[in-house]
Amino acid sequence: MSDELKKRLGAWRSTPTAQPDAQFADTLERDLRSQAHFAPRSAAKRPLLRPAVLVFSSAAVLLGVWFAVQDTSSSPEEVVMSRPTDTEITLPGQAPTRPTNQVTLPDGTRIAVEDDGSAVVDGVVLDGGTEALVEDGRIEIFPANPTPMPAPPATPTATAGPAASSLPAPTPEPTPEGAPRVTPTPAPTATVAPAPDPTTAPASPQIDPGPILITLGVQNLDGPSLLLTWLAEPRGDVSGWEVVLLSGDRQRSIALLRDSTLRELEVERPDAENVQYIVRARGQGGAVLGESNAAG
Amino acid sequence: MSTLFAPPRGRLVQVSQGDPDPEFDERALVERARVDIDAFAELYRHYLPRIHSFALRRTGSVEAAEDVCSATFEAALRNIARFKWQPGGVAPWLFRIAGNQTIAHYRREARTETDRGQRAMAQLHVDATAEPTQPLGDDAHELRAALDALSPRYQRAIALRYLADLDHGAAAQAMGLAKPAFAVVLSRALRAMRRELASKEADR
Repeated sequence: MSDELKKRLGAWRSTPTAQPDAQFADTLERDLRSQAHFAPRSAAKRPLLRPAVLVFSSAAVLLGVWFAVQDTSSSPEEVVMSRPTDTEITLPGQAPTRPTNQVTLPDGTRIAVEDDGSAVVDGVVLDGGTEALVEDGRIEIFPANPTPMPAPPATPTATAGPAASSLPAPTPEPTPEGAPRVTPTPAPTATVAPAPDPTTAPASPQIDPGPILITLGVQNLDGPSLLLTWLAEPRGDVSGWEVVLLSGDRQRSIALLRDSTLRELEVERPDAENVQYIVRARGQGGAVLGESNAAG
Repeated sequence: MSTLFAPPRGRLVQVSQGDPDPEFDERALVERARVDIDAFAELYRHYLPRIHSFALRRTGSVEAAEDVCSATFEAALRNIARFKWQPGGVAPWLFRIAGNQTIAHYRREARTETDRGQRAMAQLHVDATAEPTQPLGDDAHELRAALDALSPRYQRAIALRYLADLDHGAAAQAMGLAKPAFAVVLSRALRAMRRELASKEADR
């Protein structure tokens, strides 16, 4: 345990405590024996198959792995890690190492936060068990369990795994930095169209579901943190979420969550005034499927 | 009358996570305990010291620790037939009950307006004047005060991981969470506790 608090907790745990009083233990055992009324055992029915929803969720995660990188800034921002605890980083072409506080992370740096660890990267709080990658000046967060991060770039000793070039090419940002942000038109909800005549209407193999509706909320946590949480209509074509920080007329993508099941991100409260956040739903190929309200 | 805990009796007293004793077949014991009170009693004797120690550290009171132990094993007896065996064994399940009973104990006590209830409230909500019945070092008092100031969910996460000495998987199981979700809760809990300790330090 490298952390001071964990050491103190470990010392607390190691402090000897009194054994249970013998009379208490005997009395409780007698009470338990007097309460024992065992029912005849019945064979428990076990489901033969896992719920289909779990299978569907896993498939959705596996299918929604890659989408293009989008960066709203003209040049990558400097990414700094602060207060790493039980965290390991792998700089491009180097061996894994323990980071120091305020270390600058270049693109291609891999981050693995151990189960009990935490770190802050560019204002984004990485919780225990997180795996992440620095790419185009922002942090990309990967599913904690089933889908591994892409393999590291080839190093002189690396012999296995796809090279970093196997990452999909970045998709050009349709909204350049500084340009007014375009909010997708919400899906019409009040217009009722007459139902088409099934005998004459042409076959429509694909229906555009329209922009996904996302509602973002920001909650103050204890201390210097904010918790961004969002609600979104369930859609199978969402492969991840992009969190964008708005400051005045500037916007900057601060995190890309490559896990469609995530619905929250903890960030440090920014120093600047009038800062807000939006969340975009990303689909296959990096397509923007919808955008939340701005909240902050 | 036999005394269960006067001297450590054989291998059953050497309780540890994932019991290293290859002869101790916990799964077989649990299976028997579903229908046989003697087997349940053996399970009880096996785990009582560890549950008691957990409850005593958490509450700082022998009386409260005994209440938690009683409630924990009574609940375990009522529900052992429904317990579904998992790789971590029975420990995460028992500690989950104990953690819940610790919170429930305080809530029950707090509802009574007796002196005892006031003492319980003082333990749940930090009170520097509360006099614990279990002698602990200053640091333990400080840590428990900071832990008590956290939300019940954060308290459970830290207590199960560090005071019950469960490994990460077992603590997650005890919280009823998947490991990644537990990791998130635990790291937030630790951060909140660090802030709490720093805040108290600044107040001094």
